[in-house]
Amino acid sequence: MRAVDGVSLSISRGESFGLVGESGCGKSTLGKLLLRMLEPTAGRVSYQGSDLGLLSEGDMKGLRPKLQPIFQDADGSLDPRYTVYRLLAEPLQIQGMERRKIGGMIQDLLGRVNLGTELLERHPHELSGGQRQRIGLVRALAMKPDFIVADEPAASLDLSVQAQVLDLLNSVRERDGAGLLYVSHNLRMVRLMTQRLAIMYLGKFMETGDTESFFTKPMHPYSQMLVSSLLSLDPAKRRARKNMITGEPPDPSDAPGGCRFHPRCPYRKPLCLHEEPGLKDVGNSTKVACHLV
Amino acid sequence: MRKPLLEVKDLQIKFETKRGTIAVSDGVSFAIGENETLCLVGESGCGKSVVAVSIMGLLPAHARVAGEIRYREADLLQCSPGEWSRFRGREIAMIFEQPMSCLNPVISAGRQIAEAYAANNRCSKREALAEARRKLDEVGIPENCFVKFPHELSGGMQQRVMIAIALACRPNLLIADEPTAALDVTVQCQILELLHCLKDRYRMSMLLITHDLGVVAEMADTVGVMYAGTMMELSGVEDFFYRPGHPYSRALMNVVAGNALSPIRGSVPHLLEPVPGCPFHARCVDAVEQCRRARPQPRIVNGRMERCHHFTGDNSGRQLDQMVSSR
Repeated sequence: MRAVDGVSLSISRGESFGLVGESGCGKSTLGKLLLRMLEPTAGRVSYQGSDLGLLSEGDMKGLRPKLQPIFQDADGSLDPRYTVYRLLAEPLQIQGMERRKIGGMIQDLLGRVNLGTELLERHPHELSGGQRQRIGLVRALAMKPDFIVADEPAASLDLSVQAQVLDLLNSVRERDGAGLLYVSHNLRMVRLMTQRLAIMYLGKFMETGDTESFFTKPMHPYSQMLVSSLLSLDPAKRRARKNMITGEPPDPSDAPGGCRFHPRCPYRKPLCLHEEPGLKDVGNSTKVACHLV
Repeated sequence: MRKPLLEVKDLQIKFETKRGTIAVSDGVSFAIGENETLCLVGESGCGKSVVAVSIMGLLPAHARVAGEIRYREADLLQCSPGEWSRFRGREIAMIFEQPMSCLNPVISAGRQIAEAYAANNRCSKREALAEARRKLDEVGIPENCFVKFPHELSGGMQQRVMIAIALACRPNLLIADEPTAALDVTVQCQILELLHCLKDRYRMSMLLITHDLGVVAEMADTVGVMYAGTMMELSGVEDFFYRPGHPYSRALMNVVAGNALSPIRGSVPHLLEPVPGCPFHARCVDAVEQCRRARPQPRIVNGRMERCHHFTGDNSGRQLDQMVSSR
């Protein structure tokens, strides 16, 4: 099975790149590949010009603090035996911060995600899901990363907290110039959070380009389907999508031949069943993999 | 309003815990008419699911409940457990966010639907299975899934099976607690469309619990906004989106409809330490001294209920419609 199949992307400093697709499309796998949490079967990931795949374990370890993941569920990344204080002090110690400054810094970090110091002596299991998520987030940000893979960082949070967390991510990107890969299926948030994006389907990019022009003019039939699934906030526009949405997210272990999207595509032609389209530049810095575009 | 099917009046639900009493529902009132959909919106812990569960009569025995839950002529809170079970399934059915936790993993999809039908109808096994096939088709599940087990189905298909089970006895009220929160956006649209169709076909009423305002705009006739166990606003869907009233509703709307990320400062108060005055005052941009001291009582103007000291029924200058329709 090919979870990620021949994709190319680059993310600059201070840029936020969105990765969008249904569950099982390979977007999380791609995120992990970029941080070398998984080794690619083939292909190359480079960070500031150096090929991550060629670095030794030791060099990679030195680089890890600069490349930070943030996952939807922070449970897996917080040591259950540590208190919140220790969880947040550890990254600061690694950076060589003086002991007497650590307390103040931790207070500052907690304040940025609206948590109070009463949590400091608690363990992860004594926190709510939203609190854990925010602790995971500030822990990652305490490392002053250059590049962040945020995989559905706000999906488990309530609306009001979601905005706080995303706002914080944005400020880290703008102020500290961190690059951001923002993985999500929440299109509304992707629109707010990213400048460029890629639409992924069964391991391949279907469309890449500028976020705003994607939302105003989606080119690929799959992109159009995704954009039409965005629920309007105007009750007068309900049920207006004329059954544009067909089929279900496919099984990645059983990808169809030809264009991978053809079984769900309302516009498919005989050619689409046999020949796989490559990404074509269609101008306006947009690339689309479709025979019909 | 059309004749109410369900009426909840001043519902109080309290739990005794080791650290004190918590009021998870504090004076919640609403009504749902025939063939009408009411969406309950709110952040986690605001009490929206507890209200739903209380209508089903599924609260744990130690919950202290007061108020009235009236279904047609019956006051459900006065019913014995035996009487209540006559309403469950047949009159009121419920579906949840995680269908897998409700489906039996060792019984095929088709048989589970047949079971639900047979439990509430006098019929032969053959009839029940035939009915299950019809229901599967109705909720858009391919026929070959009849013999499949829940784990062999996608999340969307599992939710469709849940819906088929809930509809097996033709309930008049369907309670859906975050039915699409765990699904992909594309599948979410399909499930919402299915609920729309079924609601119209059976002239069902729906109580839909969600935190997603997009789902509200898509489904609701009436919107109830809950915060810290209290109903803050209850208004028609157009009013809610075109003329959002309560400061909390406006803040929620800003988060999703604004062009920039606009967080609501602060966090939800802890139910163990109830705040004096309006539960939202600490986070409210319009809070004045009165809000910190006195708890606002529900006020109804032009068919719209708000619990806010500022509420006079005049919403001019609060228009967000341009912002909403530009998105």
